Amino acid sequence: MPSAKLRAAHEATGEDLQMDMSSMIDLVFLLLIFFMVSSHLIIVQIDKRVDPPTAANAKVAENARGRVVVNVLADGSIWAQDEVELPTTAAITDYVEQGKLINESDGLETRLHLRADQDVDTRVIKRVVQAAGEAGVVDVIFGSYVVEN
Amino acid sequence: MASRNKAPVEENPTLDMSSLIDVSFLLLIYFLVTSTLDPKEADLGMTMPTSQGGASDVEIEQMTVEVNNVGHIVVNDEVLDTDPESREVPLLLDRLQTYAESARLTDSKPLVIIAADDGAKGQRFIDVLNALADENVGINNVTISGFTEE
Repeated sequence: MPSAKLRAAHEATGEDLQMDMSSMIDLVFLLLIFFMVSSHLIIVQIDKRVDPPTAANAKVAENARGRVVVNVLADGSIWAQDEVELPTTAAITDYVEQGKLINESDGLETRLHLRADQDVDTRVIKRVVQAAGEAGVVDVIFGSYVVEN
Repeated sequence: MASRNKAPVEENPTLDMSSLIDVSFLLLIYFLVTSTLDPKEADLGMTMPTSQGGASDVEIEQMTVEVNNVGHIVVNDEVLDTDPESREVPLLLDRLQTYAESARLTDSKPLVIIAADDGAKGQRFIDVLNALADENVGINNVTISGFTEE
């Protein structure tokens, strides 16, 4: 906003005082492109404590519909998506069943999204898969990092 | 001072934006250089066979892939890939390709059983699943053996 003095001085010349916005717009577009390129959609809520294994043939998911997420930490503890610990196999089955009921009410098929740490023993993975199977969920998705070859 | 104010203004006053743009570019470059991107997380899927599973009429013998506690991959008592630090499993991949091809020729649905030792690391288990998801194999009908009874 030009000051009253500037305006008064220019009223005599009859010209409008304008700020050149083109460079500003250039910059905003640059920032926009940078964040568009560098960001990616969050498919599921990521538990930072899990360091997933790497797999070259893993496919980047397009949607997270119908997923029940279970996180398995390196120490073997099992956690629900909302960071509630699932200490027993029965608790895992209950959690998956609840997710399945919600998905069924939305007309979705339930899949177990297992985010297991790369250093965890297979014993724990088998325990979660077994518990999900008892809840009637047989589609399992293993969360893994994509390796860029 | 007073005499300057009285002087008629003939030029257009413009705001010099160049220094602002310089600063903004500096900030942009700083964030471009310092930002680290989180690696993308992706899906590796498997489907456990069910009693209602739509298996084809012709059956093929299932293939069992064992992963022992030191990360060796064993098929038919033959040790194939032994380096647990390597993400490549060429010998297993070769076996799986042969198996998948024979299933395709006989128009049957292949089934792979992963028998992983309780002490095997998750990464090694995923290596086997990764080989199954290879574009030349494409087997997602997988089951896990060795569930514990509670």
